[in-house]
Amino acid sequence: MNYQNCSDILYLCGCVLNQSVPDPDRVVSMNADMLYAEAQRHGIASLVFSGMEMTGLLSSLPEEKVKKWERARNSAQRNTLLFNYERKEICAWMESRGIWNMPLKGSVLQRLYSEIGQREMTDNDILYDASRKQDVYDYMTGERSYEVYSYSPVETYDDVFQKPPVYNFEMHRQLFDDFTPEFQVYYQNVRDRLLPDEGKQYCLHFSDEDFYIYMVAHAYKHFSNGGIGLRHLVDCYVWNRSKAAFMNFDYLYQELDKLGLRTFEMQCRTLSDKLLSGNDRLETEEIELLKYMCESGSFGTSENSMKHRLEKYMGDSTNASGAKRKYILERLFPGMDYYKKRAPFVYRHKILIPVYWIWRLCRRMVSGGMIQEFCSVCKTNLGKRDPGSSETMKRKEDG
Amino acid sequence: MRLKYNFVCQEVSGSFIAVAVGDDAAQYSRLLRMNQTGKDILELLKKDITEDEIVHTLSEKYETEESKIRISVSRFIKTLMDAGVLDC
Repeated sequence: MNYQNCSDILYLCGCVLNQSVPDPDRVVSMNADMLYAEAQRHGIASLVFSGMEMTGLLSSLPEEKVKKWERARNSAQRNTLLFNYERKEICAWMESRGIWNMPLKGSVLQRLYSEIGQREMTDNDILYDASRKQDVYDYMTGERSYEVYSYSPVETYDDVFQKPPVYNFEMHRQLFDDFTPEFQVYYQNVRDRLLPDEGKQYCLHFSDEDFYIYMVAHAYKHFSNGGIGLRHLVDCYVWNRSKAAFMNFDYLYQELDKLGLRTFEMQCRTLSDKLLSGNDRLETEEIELLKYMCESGSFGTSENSMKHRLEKYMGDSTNASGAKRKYILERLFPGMDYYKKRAPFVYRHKILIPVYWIWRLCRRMVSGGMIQEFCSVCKTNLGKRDPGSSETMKRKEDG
Repeated sequence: MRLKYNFVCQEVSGSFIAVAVGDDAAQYSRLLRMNQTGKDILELLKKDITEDEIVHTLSEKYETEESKIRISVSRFIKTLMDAGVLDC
C-alpha cells in the first residue's frame, strides 16, 4: 500500500473543498488509475473526480477511463438524491405518528459539502424511539415495501431494511452496541440531548458539539475494530471548517475526555488539516495513522478486526496464546449477544442453542471461512500494536 | 403528456440533475442533466400538459421570443421521449 496515493487523494479533495487550483508539479506525478482504485475503496471517488477535473489529468486519459470516473460521480449523485427523498418520507411519517427520530452521520454531513454527491453514502442511519419498533417495522415492510435484512423483536442495536435499487436503511434503537460499552453508557439517555428541528416536534437533531462528539465516537468505534478510511478525515475537515468557529470547545473537550477520545479527535483533526490543505510534512505518528487508514478503506478489514479483538483479550498481559484460545472459543461458542442480534429465534428458544452450534459449525467448516480465520489467528503477531489498537490509544490518552 | 415517474431535481454547479425517486427508482435508473429551462419543463410535466401549454407558460416566465422557446421545448421533449420517461 502506497500511502502517497492516499495523500494525493486527500490533497485533491482539499483543492475541491477550498476551490484552490491543484499544483501542476504535484499533479504530474499522480497515477490516475491508482487514484481511482483508492478513491473507490474509500468511498470518495465523486469528490476526487471533481478534483481531477481541476487538473489536466483527465485530458490525458482514454475516454473509457474518464467515463468510469463520471459513472462514479453520477452514481453518487443519484444515490444521494434517492436517499434524501426516501429519508424525508420516512422521517415525515415518523413525525406524523409521534415517533421521535434523528438522521445520523452521512445524511447530516452531506449538507456541509459544496455539491450533492460529494459525500457518498451506501446507507442511511436513523436513530428512533425503540418503544415504537413494531410500528416502524410494519411501516417499512408494509407501506414502503422494504425487505428485512435484520430485525430482532427483542432488544437490539439496530434493524436493517433494504429495497432495490440502492435503499438501505439502518434504523437504530441505540447509538452504540455492546462492542463499545462505555459509549453505550454515555448515550443511555440520548433523547435528553436532542433538539427539535425547526417547525417539528419529533424530528430531532444534536447540537453541533454533540453531533461532533458522536461523529468522533462512531469513527473511533470502527477505527478500533476493522479500521476507518480516508472519508473520515474529509468529514473531519469539512465539519471543522464549517463549524469549529461556532462550537463550545470547553464542553466539547469535557465530553471527549469522558469518552477517552480527546487524543483521537485531535489526531484526526490535525492530520485532516494538514493533508487537505496540502501540507505533506507529517510526523512519524501521523504517517502511521495515515497508513493505517489507507489500509483500512471505508469498511475496515477483517484482519484489523481480528487483531484488535485479540489485543482486547490480551489486555496488559503478554499471554498471546491465551488470547488466541479465548478468541477461538468465543467464535465457536458465541455469547448471548450474538444470538440476540444474529439469531433472535434461538435467543428466545435457548434450548435450541446446542443444535444451532452444530449447524453453524458445520456451515462455517464447509465454507472454509472459519478454518481460514483460525489459521490467521494462530499466525497473528501480537507484538506490534497499530494506531487502531485500543491499548495504543489508551496509553496516549493517559498521557 | 406527463412524466411516467416521480422525479426530483437538484441544482449542481449551475445546471440541474434529475432522478426518478421512491419505488420509481427501480424502474428508471438514469440520471438526467439539464439547464434551468429543462428543469422548468420537467416540473410542468409532473401534471398532464400539452406542448403548447408548456410554451405558453415559459413565454410568460422568460423574456424570450416564443419561437425560440418552442424550439427548446420541442427539443427537450424529444430528449425525454427518447429517454423513455414520458407518457404521451
